Amino acid sequence: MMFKKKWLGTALAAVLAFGTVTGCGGGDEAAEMPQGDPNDTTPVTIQYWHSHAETQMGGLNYMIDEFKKAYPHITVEPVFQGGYPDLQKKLSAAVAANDVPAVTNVEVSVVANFADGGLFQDLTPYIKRDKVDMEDFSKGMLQAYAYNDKQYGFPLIVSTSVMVYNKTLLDKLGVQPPQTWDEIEDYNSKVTEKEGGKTTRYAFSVPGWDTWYYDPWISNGGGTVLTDDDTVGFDQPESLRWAENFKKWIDDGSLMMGFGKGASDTMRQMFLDEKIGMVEHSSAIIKMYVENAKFDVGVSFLPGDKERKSHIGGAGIVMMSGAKEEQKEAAWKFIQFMTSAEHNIKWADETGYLPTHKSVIDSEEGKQYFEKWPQYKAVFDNFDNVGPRPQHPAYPEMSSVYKDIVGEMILNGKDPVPMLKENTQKMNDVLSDY
Amino acid sequence: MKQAPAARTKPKVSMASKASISRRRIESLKDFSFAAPALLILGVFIYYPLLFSLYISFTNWNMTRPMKKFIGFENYDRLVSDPLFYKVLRITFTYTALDVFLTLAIGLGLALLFNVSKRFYNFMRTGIFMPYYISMVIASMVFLWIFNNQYGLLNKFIGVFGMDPVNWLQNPNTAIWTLLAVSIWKGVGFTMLIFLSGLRSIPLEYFEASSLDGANKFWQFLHITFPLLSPTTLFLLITNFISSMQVFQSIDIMTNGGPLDSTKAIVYWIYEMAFVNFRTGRASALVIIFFLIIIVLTAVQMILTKKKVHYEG
Amino acid sequence: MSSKTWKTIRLIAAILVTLIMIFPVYWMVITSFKTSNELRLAVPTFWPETFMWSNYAEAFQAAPFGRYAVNTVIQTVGILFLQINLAIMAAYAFAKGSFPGRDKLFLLVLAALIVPEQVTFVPVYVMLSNLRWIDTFYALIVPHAVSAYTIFLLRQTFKSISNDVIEAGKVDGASRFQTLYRILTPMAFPTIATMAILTFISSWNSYFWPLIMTNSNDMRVLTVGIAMMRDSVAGDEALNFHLIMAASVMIILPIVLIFVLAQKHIITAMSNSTFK
Repeated sequence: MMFKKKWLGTALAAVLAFGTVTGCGGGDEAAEMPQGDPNDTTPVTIQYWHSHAETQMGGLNYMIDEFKKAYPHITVEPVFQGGYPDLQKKLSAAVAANDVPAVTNVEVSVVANFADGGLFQDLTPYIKRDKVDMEDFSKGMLQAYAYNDKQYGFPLIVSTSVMVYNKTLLDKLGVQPPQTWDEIEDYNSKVTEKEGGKTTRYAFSVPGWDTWYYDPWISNGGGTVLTDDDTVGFDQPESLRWAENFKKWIDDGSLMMGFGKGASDTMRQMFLDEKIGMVEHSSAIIKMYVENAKFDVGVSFLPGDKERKSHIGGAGIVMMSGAKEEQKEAAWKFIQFMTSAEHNIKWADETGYLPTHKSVIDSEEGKQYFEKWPQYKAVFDNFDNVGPRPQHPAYPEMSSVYKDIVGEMILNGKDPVPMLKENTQKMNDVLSDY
Repeated sequence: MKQAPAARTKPKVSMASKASISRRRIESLKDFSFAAPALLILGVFIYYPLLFSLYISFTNWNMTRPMKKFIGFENYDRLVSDPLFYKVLRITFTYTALDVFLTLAIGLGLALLFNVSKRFYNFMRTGIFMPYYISMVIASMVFLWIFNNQYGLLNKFIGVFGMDPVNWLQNPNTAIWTLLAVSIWKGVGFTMLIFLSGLRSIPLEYFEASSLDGANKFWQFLHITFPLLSPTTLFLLITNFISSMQVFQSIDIMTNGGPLDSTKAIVYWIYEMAFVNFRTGRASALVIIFFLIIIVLTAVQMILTKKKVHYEG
Repeated sequence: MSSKTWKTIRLIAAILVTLIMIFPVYWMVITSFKTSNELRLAVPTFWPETFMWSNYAEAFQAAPFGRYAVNTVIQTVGILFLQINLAIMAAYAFAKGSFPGRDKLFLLVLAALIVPEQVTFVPVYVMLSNLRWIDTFYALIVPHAVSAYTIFLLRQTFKSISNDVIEAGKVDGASRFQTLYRILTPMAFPTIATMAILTFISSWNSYFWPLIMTNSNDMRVLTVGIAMMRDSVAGDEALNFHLIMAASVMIILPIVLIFVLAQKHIITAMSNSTFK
């Protein structure tokens, strides 16, 4: 029994120790100037935790080799930590244990939460010291990795949602993909095909399984997901226009929306089988559509109304504030290298994600890239219209409320408008409870 | 569970001397030392984390934040006033009840069917036991593929009979059955073997005696086999109950708790709260509630069935 | 109906059930040999058009499966060794020993059964990290060194063994340890064998724990490899199921081989165990 008491004591001591250990992590001790010496060449090894899929590994290995040539004293150990959810899991465990990698990927929707918690190093002092040309980046992409006016990271694998359409079909029907909401009804009436009241070909499809796809529809209709005083905007009539329209288009059989696991497979296959004329999907998988379709694939930017925006997706690259001091300088150099204009096109081409620098688009390399991938042109014509997602630490949790309302509309045919109004308070509670 | 032997037979001591008392102390310390390593490990890896969760459940801690504020019972208050809490409990219980009942019923059926001492039957039993040793991760992936609404075999199969494809994983009414399918597929082989070992331990005289009385097989099953299997059934009931309540892996791979929370069982919700919404404090409160629920229900099952369990000999 | 008809009906039913049960495994193997296009045919093929052995090569390259296999073996053997030995000792203490609070402590052991690892791993992770054990075999093995289940079942078995056996050992001057390992353990062998099989299955297949507790490729295990495989084709799963299935087959192959080769002993051990 004595033994047992002792053990309890140890457990309690561990609890207390744990409290103090985590107590000293993070914080905003960011001084005006970074502490490290930029010219120090003491050998240092840093870990880079990432979620780069198989198809991106060639690109990553190339970049790491090039980096090693430029900075022989820095060794980068890339560690694949699975998809974004797994990476997030491991990062939070690592933070709780106060043993973090120096550099990591971070999925764009959790930037606010992690930055708010002081997990990321504020890169502003480094940017100032090394006079990084911030103007060259797409503004919206940079904003997505900033929080409370501090730059925590840089866009690395960037995607945005676009409309992928069956060019062969639309040409045959003599219609253009809609550029504004006003054109949608006309487009729908021309593309939708019905047999005995049942749709056999949908005009278009918007994914219902991730709010990322319809958040821009909310703002394009003149509404807001998150207002400036951190409440949801669903009590404003403009913030409900998207839902009214979606409901109307679903009911008249021209819009197909999928929800739940595997819904993405369904949408893709229906598009490839020419049962949908146009689908909203991530720019990162345009390549997949081009390779698998038996028809010509075109890409158009999201249709706009009051404004015309699309949101940034994918992941960025950040430095962990809990990294050891001697690693921070190396970590910064690596981040800078990975996101520099110099390798931007090569990186984009290898990974299927978007270039992030304006200057590279007009370069010789850039021109070749667009010749190879003309589908990306639609995105770059709207380069400055790719904006950040709604930023709030509780956004991921809050957004699941209106995602489920969309699910109720898709699966159970319910009217989303009254449900959105009724649940405004619930969503505000989630936001304020942080 | 046989009658516990009334403590260890003690060495014969003619009179209680001080020496014998201290000797007994040493003996009992030696006995304890055999249990100590296991207790130490359980203490460090099960009970310390639970105590820690209890402590955290009274704070607003977020795993990734340095701040930790004591907020009393607020986490518990918020949980019990959240409609989702009751929905999650309902889903967990529904899943558990169906999973336990079906696994046991099918397992018992298989045991009766396969209770033949022939080589070929032995061979088939090996096949039926196979799913049990295939990892849940892999089993879930295979079923995910079979249930896929576009390319999945199940929809192609029902299509042969002219039925429309079903969105198994995207329909709140069917998603839970996909999870049950994996679990039952994996579990019945083991259940069958345990029931078989129970069946074979029933003395043959019982059957012979009743056969002489002209009882038919069904009567025998109802009045002899099933009652005499009750210790086995209880064992399977409790172990299956505990593992069903903890369902997690298949949800993580097949449904992520959706669609519309229709497969959000309690362990998955705990996990989501801690790692998707970063509410470690509230997730810890749920851990404590979960622990209490499962401990109470297990005890209730043991007490309720204790009277009805038949022991031979 | 004659008993012969009954026998035939029974046999047919048994064969049908067996076929249904092994079908998903068959489907996994067949899928692993298909091409990506063949996965998506309107009428599925039950035998691949051509056997794509290259799927295996491709899946094998997705992660260092060789290294993962070695790690899985080390993890499994470590857990097996500790679980069996610690359980033998603890079960002995709880069945035959006498010390204050014995039965209360045993209840604590039993209660451990109901705690899933998904609710304990955060504090454990922090603790192991402070010990610098993350990403080592210690983190994979030590937290699983004790199985409440094994202790429970072994205790039942030991209790059913007469105390006379122990007394006889004492008369011969054997120590506790000797009595336990030379006399009791051989008598409980069927239960121990069964528990070893169950432990082997669960450690070989454990996924969640190694996923969280390891950070580098050098320490990962086979089941985590499959998750990596799946993540690396995230979003395009349906196009890559042949590869996922190929990796799955590689992972289950060793365990299936062991079970098929030793099926007679294993099924006998399982059927003879005293689960009461």
